[in-house]
Amino acid sequence: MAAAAPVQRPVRRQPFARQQAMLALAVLLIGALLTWFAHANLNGYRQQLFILCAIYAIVAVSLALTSGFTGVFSLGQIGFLAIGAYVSALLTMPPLVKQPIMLPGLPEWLATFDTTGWPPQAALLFACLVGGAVAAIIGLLVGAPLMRLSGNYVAVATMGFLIIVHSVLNNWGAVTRGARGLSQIPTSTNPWVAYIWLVIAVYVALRLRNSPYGRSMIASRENLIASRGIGVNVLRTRLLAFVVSAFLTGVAGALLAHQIGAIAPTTFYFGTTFTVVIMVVLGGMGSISGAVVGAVIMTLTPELLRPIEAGGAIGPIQYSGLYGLSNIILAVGFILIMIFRPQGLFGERELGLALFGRRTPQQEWAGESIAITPELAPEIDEPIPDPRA
Amino acid sequence: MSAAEFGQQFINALSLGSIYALVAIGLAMVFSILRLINFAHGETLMIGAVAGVVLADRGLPWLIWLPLAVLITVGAGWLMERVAYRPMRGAPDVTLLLTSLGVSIALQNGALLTLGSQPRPFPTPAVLGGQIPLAGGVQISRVNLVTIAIAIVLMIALTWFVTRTQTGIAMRATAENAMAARLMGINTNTVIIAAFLIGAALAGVAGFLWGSRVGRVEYDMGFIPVLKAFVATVIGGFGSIPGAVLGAYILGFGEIFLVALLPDYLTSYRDAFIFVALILILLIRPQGILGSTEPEKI
Repeated sequence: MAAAAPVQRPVRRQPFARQQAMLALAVLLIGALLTWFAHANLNGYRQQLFILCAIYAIVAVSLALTSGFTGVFSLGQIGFLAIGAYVSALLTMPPLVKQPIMLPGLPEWLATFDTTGWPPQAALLFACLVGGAVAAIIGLLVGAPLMRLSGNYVAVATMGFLIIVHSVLNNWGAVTRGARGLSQIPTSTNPWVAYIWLVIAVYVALRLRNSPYGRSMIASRENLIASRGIGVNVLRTRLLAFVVSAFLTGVAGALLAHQIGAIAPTTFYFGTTFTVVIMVVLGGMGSISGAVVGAVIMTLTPELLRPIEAGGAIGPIQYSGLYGLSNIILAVGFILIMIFRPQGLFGERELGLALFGRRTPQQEWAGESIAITPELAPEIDEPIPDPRA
Repeated sequence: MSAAEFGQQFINALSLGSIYALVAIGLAMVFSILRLINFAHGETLMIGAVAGVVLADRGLPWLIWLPLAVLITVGAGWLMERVAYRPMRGAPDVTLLLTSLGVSIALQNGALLTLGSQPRPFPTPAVLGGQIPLAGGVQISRVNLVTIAIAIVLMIALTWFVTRTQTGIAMRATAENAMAARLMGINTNTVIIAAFLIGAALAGVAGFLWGSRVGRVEYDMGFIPVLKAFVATVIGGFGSIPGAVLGAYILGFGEIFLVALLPDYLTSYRDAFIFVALILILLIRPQGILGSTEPEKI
């Protein structure tokens, strides 16, 4: 199907690709400039916010990858965030705080595993990779059975996964210190690392979508039975998306742990799940740049609302702290989006292309359903190309 | 486990299952008609309990505040349907699920704003306090006994409603096939509202019973019951009311006896075991015990 597009628009295709490359370069540069600015000029708190935006953007992109592309809605993404965070933390915490008195359940090699002598960024990279890999392996084990399910069922089953992870983190005190969580994790995440990982995540997601796998994902989302009919291995396709997104989320978890320096199970539960889901829905399911924009909005909005929550005065009216208000505003805003603009800010489009008022060629074919207007009808009436050709 | 201990645990499980059943019925009814997994159903339970606390603070006797609290819960259920779910009719399943999560978060934080984060003691009526000694050293707490009795009465009433009244029959018809029901002149709007109102009423009663059971009220108290009720509906079969009740009792017994039989260091993993079981059921028999399969139409 997608192969038909370039044939039909040989003239438009070339400038489109160049436009896209220029745009990608511009976005990369702007991002790098922002990162440089954050790194060099912002104070500690604002820098942390910048890093947080990038980390949540990675999580949102990976959720958009699995939920937006394949339509398999996962409510368990934060479980992978937790796995990445805990695994990486256990690797890089100094052996002094991993002694058997503190964490009796750790195996000998892990308890004495020492990265304190390494360059901090090398240790962080190692922790990210291992955290991501463990998350991906668990994603493979969990996904292999769960990706058979669809719709509500898969949402519920992945939610079950999240609850199981949370329960283990809370109760396996010998390794996770239970509800007290882990602390004294080296805080080595800086804006550059977070930015580079975000670029990697976006690149992987975009490449994946424009690959045959990505088209299979979108096909299986649009019509499960028809996609099976044309030979898409739905299970494998979904599993690929699930595992890649588990890896990226695991990396984000590692970055998060090494940003805050202390993690506890409460961070990795429904609150965060809901926030990340809003990010993706707000940006538009299936839009990678939408996920990034959604993540930035959703990370900064609570910070902007914080003064309201803390209490103070509007003009002459004094009021005390309104704890919970920012969550109400977010939740109500979310419901309003669901009612009035369920496709989110960008829907299926990407930021730059939306600015140009265009969809990518394959989106015109495989993306959100297109109304069959007289102008489109002749294209659709064209004979279907032989898939073997 | 001695016989007396077993008897006590048996009653305890029956009572826990009854509360889950009251919550699960509302979930199953709404799901069968709208295909909406209403996570905010737990918040109707919370509203019932909170309304009880607030009204009891005004010095009302429980015979007055209890029906008032249930009435408030029913109002909340109606409002929820009207404001959040009606505009979403016909949206994809997952969109509905996410909307209900949004409603749930909004209501929880609304309660947080008004109640504060500290738990409040629940004004359990004195009649429900204490134990009743039975033969063989078995003691039953009154709360448990009353819970079981109320649940049975309500379930009989519900059975009467869905089999004997016009709205009830219309409700079952709509659940079976909404399109055909509409063509037969059934006002599906009425049916949907009725499902929300009945579900909310049952959840309000469940909120009272749950509050009496755990003795306190918190802004997020609806979360655990709704999750469990949800597991119950999955066990019994999504959207089947008898299935939901059966699933609720299976879950109640499973939970109580899992804790009683497991070694101590594993009991805190109870929820993990329950959700492992949930995932297994979803994989092996997604239609649950009493649910029926619906082949996907091309």
